[in-house]
Amino acid sequence: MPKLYIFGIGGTGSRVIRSLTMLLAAGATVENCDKVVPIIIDPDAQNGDMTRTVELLKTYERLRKQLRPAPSPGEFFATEVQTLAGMAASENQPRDARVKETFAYNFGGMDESYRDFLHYDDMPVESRYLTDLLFTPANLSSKLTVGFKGSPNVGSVVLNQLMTSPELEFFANSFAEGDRIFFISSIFGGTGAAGFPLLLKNLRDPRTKLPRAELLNTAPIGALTVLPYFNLLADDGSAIDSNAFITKTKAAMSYYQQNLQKLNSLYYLGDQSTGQLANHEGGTRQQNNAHFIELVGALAVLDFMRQPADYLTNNQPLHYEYGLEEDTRQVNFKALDPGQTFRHVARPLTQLQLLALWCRHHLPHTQEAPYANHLQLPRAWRDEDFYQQLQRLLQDPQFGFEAWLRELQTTERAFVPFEDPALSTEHLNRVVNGQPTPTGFFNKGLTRDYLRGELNKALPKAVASADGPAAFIHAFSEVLGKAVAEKIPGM
Amino acid sequence: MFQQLFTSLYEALLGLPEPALLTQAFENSIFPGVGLATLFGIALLGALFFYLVLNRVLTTPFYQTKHWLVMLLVLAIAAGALGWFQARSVVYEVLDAKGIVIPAGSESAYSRYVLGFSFVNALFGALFFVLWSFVVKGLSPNAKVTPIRWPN
Repeated sequence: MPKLYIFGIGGTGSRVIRSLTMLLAAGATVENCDKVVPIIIDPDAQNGDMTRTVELLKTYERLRKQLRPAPSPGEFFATEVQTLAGMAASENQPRDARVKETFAYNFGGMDESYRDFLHYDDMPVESRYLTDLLFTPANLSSKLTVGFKGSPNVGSVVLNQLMTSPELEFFANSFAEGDRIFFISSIFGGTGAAGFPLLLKNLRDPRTKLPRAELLNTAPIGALTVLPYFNLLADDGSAIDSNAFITKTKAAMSYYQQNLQKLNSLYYLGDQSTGQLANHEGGTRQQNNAHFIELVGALAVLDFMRQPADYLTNNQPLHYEYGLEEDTRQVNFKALDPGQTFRHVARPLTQLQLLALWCRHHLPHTQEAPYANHLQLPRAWRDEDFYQQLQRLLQDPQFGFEAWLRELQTTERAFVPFEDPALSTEHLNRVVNGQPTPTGFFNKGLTRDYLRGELNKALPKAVASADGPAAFIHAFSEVLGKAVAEKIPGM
Repeated sequence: MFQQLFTSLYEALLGLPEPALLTQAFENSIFPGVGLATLFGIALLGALFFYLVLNRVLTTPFYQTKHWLVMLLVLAIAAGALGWFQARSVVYEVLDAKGIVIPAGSESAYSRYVLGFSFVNALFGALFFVLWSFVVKGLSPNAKVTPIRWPN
């Protein structure tokens, strides 16, 4: 069973993985793999973006585990997502107690200064002079608690501990023929800019001490590097200055040009920004609203996985950029290129939006219907873990799907594919922005009664071959997929 | 067969018709006629309308137990009205045929049994609708668990 290991490095890595998880929940297909294993690397253990993504991934994993049989490709939650430790357990590999059952690499709580990390005071004097040449006093005195604060020169030293960590050894031991690796990072931050080339260099090093080196050296590896797409308010109290983002980007790219070897595919993404976000160095307050760029970044992962392995190997390095069909600050589905992005994003996200709207506005009013009765929904919705996790994934105000959509509307390049959910409390004819469902005297469109009738027909067949949660997912995937294809024009 | 059946059913609750001169009219005409009309015309058609028209051919919001109860009430009232008007019509026809004029102030003696009959027919209308519901509801994808899930 081929796997995809995704290293999400730094805040941008976490945010892109969040968008990817939403696409997977919606049923977007990850080709050439049966399982996705996200590994988030961020020394800032309290990072708001990271903790939010980890909660989302945990919810997805818990929910997905309860679907027996597993959903078919294209259905909601079709892709399995597991932690590194959990993945090995499910494949009967020996456990390593040092590797925790979590999606985030454990840095063990670094609350010392960089100076102490380097054991500066114990260095010979020549080494101290070299250190003073490479790092500013601010770098040296900076606490590592909240990461590297936009200083990849610090990150590239600290992150070396990754290479001798039990997690990376465990990852290498689990790596098999056919598996792939994808890195997600920003080029203008501290953790991502440092971590990505470091990991790549070590995985491709023929003299690496990691197990299965020959497989790692030749495995398909892709990467997304995100160029600046937001600015921060100027703050003298913060070590991060977004005016330096472009300079850092140029420096990093000149390094990549010379030193990024044996990468199969590299995806570049960025956007011009005039707006400014609050300047938080890290911790729980570093929690930016979801951005359209991150959703596009998630598409890079799917695109990488669509390529056959030998195409990646024979044509490396492949470089990709992205462009909208229409350069607009209010992006809806019509602004996406119809050949690729629209096909991969529009229908799955619309189906997931319909599911979210149904669960919030229509399920409470249809609990006496046969489909609800088959699933014992009034009680199950309240008491069963699967439905609790589903409600969290859709409705949690921190990391849920509805919150993610709301955040996407607030950024400078807003993603507004859907109309106000308040318009969908009685019927669902105005879900997709700019694509309302036509109605007439004899045709009421996409109504609650229409969907209820279709669910009533679909559930008995689903329940006959699957238990409650799997039947729920199968029936809703089928009915909502049909509704989107038949009732929403342009889909 | 139907005559005996319905006669037994109605007389089990109402007793013998009053006054006695109307016994034959009730047993030969009113009981079987109204009974059949209630069983097939009101109850069965009502069940078919609720389960197959409203909740199979169409997909209407009227599938819940409360809607079924409203249907039950309406059909009971219709059955009661059928019993009242049909029984009164036949009774007066019989009295006219026999040349009997009801003395003033004595109408209640004739109306009392008819009124009782119409209430009993309303009950039977409701009961027949419930029975037909269990027969027909499996054919309705949108209301097959109305009013209860069994036997689906």
